[in-house]
Amino acid sequence: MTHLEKQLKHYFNYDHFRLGQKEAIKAAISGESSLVMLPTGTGKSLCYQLSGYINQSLTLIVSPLISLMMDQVFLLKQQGEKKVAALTSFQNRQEKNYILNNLKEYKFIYLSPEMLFQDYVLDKLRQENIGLFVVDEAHCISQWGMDFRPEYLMLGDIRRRLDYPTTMALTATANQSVRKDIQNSLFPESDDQVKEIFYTVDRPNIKYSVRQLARGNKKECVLELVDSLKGPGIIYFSSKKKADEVAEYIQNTTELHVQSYHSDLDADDRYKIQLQFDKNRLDIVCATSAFGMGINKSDIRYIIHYHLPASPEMYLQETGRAGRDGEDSLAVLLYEKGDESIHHYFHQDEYIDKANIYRIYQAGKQPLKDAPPNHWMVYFLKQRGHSVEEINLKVQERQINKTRQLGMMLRYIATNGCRRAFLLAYFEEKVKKELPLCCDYCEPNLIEKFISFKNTGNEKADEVPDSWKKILSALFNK
Amino acid sequence: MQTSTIYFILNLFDKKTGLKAAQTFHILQGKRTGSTLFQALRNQTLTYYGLFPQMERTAFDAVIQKSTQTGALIEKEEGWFYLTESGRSWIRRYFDSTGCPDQIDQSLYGFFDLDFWEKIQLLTQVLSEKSYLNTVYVPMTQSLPQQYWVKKWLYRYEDESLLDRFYQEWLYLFQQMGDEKADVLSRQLTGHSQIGQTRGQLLGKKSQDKVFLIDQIHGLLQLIDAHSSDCPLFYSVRQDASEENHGQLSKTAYETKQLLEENLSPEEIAVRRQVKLGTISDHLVEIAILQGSQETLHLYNQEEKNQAAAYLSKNSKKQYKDFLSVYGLKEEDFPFYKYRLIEIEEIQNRYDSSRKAT
Repeated sequence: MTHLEKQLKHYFNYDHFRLGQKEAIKAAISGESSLVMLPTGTGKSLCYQLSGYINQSLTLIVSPLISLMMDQVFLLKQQGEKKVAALTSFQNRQEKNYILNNLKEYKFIYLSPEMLFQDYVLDKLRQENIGLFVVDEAHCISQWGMDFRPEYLMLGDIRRRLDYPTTMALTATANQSVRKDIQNSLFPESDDQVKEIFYTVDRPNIKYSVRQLARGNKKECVLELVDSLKGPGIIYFSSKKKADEVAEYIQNTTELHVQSYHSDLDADDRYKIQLQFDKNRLDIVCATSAFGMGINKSDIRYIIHYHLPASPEMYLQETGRAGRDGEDSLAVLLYEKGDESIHHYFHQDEYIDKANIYRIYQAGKQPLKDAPPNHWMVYFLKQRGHSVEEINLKVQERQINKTRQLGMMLRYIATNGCRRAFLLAYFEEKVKKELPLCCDYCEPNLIEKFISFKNTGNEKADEVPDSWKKILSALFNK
Repeated sequence: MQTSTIYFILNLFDKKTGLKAAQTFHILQGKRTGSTLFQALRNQTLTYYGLFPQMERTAFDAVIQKSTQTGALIEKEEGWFYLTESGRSWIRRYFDSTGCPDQIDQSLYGFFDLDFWEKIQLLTQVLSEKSYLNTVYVPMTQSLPQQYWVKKWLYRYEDESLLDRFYQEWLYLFQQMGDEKADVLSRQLTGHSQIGQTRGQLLGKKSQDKVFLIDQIHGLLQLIDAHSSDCPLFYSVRQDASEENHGQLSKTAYETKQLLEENLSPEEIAVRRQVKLGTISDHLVEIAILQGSQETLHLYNQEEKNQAAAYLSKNSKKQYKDFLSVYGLKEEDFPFYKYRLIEIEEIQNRYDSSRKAT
């Protein structure tokens, strides 16, 4: 066992590294910045967490979403790590100051890029020895990537202001143009020194299937699937209301234990649902994309998409939450004609024309917090010295790109070929070896192969004491 | 809007005097003005003050409009609504099936109830894990001040008997509240080997309405207040939550109160805080209504009180400007805040005597 493997065993109780992890950690601890692309669900977080433990200095992790940060903090705490915190806009000044004034007490600090734009935050961080600066979901830097976050454009500048700490940029889904954008934006001064660690986005144990349905048949189809597929599973929705409605429908119609999960729930209930799912007290979670970004449950057996994802990147990201234990798992996308219209609506809502771009550019003011990403994009590109013409071109390209990504999802549904090959081709990859079960094109009876019994849910879910006396005794070990 | 919220709102109109829709909306939303609080005191809806801070006016108006159309409410004068007999029987039928939230007291607990509940849940989890000697778990709240508060609280109270005393206090409180309520509350708790249930899992659809959670928490707080000597640990949590949230007061009214305690007059406070006297008047009204008139008695003398009280008892108009003109006074001789504070004291005394009489 090498030194690194001993550390892996010590901190995470794993015997072996997964593909790419060791290379990424070696780079980080030897002070080499890296761009790491590992498929979803193969332990990207471990790369910086173990590096952080070995470095014995502060690891800063920039993350695009509060829910993602909270998930990661949750997982680290579950492993017994207490020196971890997230700095978010939801915290009041008192909470933020507590963390910033006690930075030495922490090993891992998660924060949003916006937080780094605040001078008092940056000043405090500059006084610390930052062992590793992690840019999680680094594809957010690129307008070509999924979930483009204009604030990420400024991270190169933040690195400079932090005196170029060793940096690890992590992503699961980035094609060549996205990777090029990450390099240019994050490491403009040193592109030849950045180590690139790339592995395929393919997850051979996830099997892809699409069900095209007549209008109004989705609920019945979901019911048929969950009633016979082995769980646990996640059903993704674009709408909170639909997630609630379908969760209630399944709960009332089957013996399964189901909960909906979205941003309207109290933090208290979100915590309980996450924990219940993790501890096998729930069979299914009907969720929006707010659920599961940092989820580390290894035995999720299926992911059903009730609504159409906006891009292949998003689809791979969400289906990648299944089968982390390496067991075969199923990804089913349900499609009704016209499902794409919600995305057209979102695109329309985000759209800004040339006149508006000029207006935002001329005003030069920071957009409102909840302004659409395109407004922020104009603002940040101007900050980076781009001319209004260049910005206009980039904004238009981004809008075209979103339409292209949605178009790819529609082509994925309609493809008359292997679905895995289609997805891999989108990421400029090829299928390396033929799989016995691959997708519903390669194996038309794919779903049937996964249906083997009547699903009666998890018995553990019913293990709730029936009286307060028993609950109280159990709580306090009486 | 949840069905239970609609019935709950309608239930508020079950008064002989009826209620003004616009005022009721501001009371439920918790609009921080002296006049809203005063209206809440006058029409005895203070216990619901600020119960629905996120409620939107359009949604509230839609409830009133629909209830009027269906005959549950009737508008007798412009803007004044009364519950009808059929409305009353619909409400009764609905709450017979779900249980009526009848423990809510926003004026006493509304400003710190959720903070208290978060503290109690976190403390229960921490002590539950301690009783199993487990240190590796995820706290049920990610709030750092709450986690820090637990550390401080443990420093104050931790000894060999703490786990047992805390358990005994829960036991006592659950016994006092009765099995049904205790079952519902206890199932929400998270600790070692128990993951609390969500409100949805416990109570079905109706529980998605926060009113039912607030009702449970206020019920618990009432018990703690009534039995503070039997549950000193829980009482200490209640006190911490209350103090951290300035008692029942807003932060700005709390600051005024502190200056009042330094014997500054309202006029001097206005100068010190660089705000209008009207703003300080609002704070004084908030203090007198939420913490009791005894806090502001020293701001007027007996003669002033007699003068205003005489006017209030004889005149149906009850308007400050009218009061000044009846007695030939100028605003600076008798500032508005004195008149309003006396009016508050009179109303509170009246309620106290009618409570004692019943």
